[in-house]
Amino acid sequence: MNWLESFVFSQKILGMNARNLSYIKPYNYRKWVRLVDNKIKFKKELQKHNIPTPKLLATVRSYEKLNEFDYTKLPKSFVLKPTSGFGGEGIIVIFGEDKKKTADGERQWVKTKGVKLSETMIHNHMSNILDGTYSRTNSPDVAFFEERIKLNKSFKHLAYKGIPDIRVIVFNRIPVMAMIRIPTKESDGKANLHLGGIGVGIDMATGVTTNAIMREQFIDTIPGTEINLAGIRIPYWNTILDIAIRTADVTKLGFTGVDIAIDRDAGPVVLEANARPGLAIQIANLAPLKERLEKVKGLKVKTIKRAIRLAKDLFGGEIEEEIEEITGRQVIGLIEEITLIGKNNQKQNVQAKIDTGAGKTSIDESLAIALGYEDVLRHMKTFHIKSVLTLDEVNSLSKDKIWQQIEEHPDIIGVSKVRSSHGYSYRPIIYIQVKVGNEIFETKANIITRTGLKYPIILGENSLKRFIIDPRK
Amino acid sequence: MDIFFSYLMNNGVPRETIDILLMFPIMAGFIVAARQIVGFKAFGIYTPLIITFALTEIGFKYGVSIFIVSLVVASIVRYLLRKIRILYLPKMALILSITALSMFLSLVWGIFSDSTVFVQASIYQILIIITLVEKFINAQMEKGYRTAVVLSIETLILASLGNLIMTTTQLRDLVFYNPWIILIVFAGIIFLGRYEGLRISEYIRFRKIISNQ
Repeated sequence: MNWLESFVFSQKILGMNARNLSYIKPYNYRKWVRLVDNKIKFKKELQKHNIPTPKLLATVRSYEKLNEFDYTKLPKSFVLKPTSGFGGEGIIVIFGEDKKKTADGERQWVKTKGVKLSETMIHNHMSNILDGTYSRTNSPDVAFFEERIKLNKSFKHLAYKGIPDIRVIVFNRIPVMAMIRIPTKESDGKANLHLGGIGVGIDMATGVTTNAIMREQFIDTIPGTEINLAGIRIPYWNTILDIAIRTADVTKLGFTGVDIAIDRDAGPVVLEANARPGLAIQIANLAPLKERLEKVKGLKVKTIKRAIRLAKDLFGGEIEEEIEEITGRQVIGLIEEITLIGKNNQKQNVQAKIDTGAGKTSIDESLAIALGYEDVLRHMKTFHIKSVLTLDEVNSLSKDKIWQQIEEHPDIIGVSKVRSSHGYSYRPIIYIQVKVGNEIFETKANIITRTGLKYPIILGENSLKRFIIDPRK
Repeated sequence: MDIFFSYLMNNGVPRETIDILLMFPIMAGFIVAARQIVGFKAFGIYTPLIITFALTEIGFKYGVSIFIVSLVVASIVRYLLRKIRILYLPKMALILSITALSMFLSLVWGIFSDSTVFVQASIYQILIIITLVEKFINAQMEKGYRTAVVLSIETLILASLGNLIMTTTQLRDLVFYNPWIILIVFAGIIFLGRYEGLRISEYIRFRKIISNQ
């Protein structure tokens, strides 16, 4: 690829300038940005719309409320968070309650690494949160308790301490790109990429992971292990896309990153939504985001089902390419846009039906004419063969060795007797040049002397040996 | 404009003051270009600007020394304070104060190396450089040590290049005698404010996506 092509391609990548100017500014109104930045308010909004999210257990807004706080209402396991926290600071995860009370008769809980926390210690932590120790601007903050998410079985071997989460970028109601973020030893159990978490791109169509990055460098396995990061199937993929779209609807943000974790019991739950999603997701997916955003800009998508369909159709395909790399064969769908190259090099772009049930490839009369085989048709007409024949008629044609006369034409390489639901037909076979995707090859095709077919060409078994057919495509 | 500037100077306003005010938009434009086109994040726009002016006043060599010394001292103090449970503002107060006190050592060093420029430099210029410490420590807490160091280095590079521009007398004279040039600078800043293209740093950051194509 020369530098000019590289430059043109690089314009499909979403940079900071374009993100802020062309997507955040026009699509994310400040009022709605404030809603997602306020974790408690946003959580309540999600619950109102029946979107699963870790349950809010309690909030503490002031020192008065802190002093009145009733510790008996805390469950055995929970998470304590600052409302305006960032980067995972100030979050305490409690895994269980210690059976023994403290000497002062207080309840006590166990957090990571088996460290014990008494009521007084939790009180002090809340006091720090209220002081604003962990808030973005160090201004007074609100503390809240929420349900603890339990690690899903299929992620057990992946995550170090924390919970992996799935970031889905939703633009104009359509999920455009996704990655899974996995906490590591280096990130201290947090999934944030800039803290050293792993980001793995996800194929939108299948929910299977593709490339992994850590600190923006490509990796194959989780550092220090043999665990492969590519090819992991994300469970609940359709539900995740559905929830991401519904969450984006609740945020009223046009361009948002929705973070979803998978709870062992509850399944996918929304952690938060982000009005300024990061750009590293492009590296994890090895795909430019701006191109995808431009593709769905202005589309009117009424139903969630349609939005999911669009996301899968438009932005899936990484996996197919991988299959192509392994098998050396291209993946095609049931209907493909192909190019036919005619006798005098005239090109015809047509929609082809891919039909593994048909033994042979056939093209219709008008297409044959367009490709320069008019003379073949003229030659056929001289034999006055009906387009639909009975078995007896076919047999008598064969007995008369009509095919020998037909094959006298230089373009005709044979005659085929085709049985269809209507009856039998006698068709001339010619060679045609076909281009499917990047493959150009020559194949035999018979000409149907009957028009009114939905697709001017049906690629049958004899032309499909070099392809893998995926009916979903 | 000439008459206006002469009037100011006849009434005791130093040429330096007029120069700094006139150069301000140009330096601001320079930092905007460095951010939008090259991808220098630094610490916003105010910090690199004010440090540029401080560097110009104190002299490049000593300015950069103070810059580095204050960041090192602040990092050490923060490290020592990490075990003490203390709120944000009081902690910052301690870090800043100890960094300020460490300037006594720098002054002694200035005396030993016979730098009258540095020894007699206005203390305000030195204090301005120290205010960088708050941004630095803040970045350490929010984004981690690595990012804070990267941002500091970027700030230092911007301020050094800015210093180079500030000390170009031809440019100073050009703006002094043709102040309307500032209007062009404003147009440039507006243009940069609408620039949607990739930053140079992003071509590097996303090179794998491009080469994978």
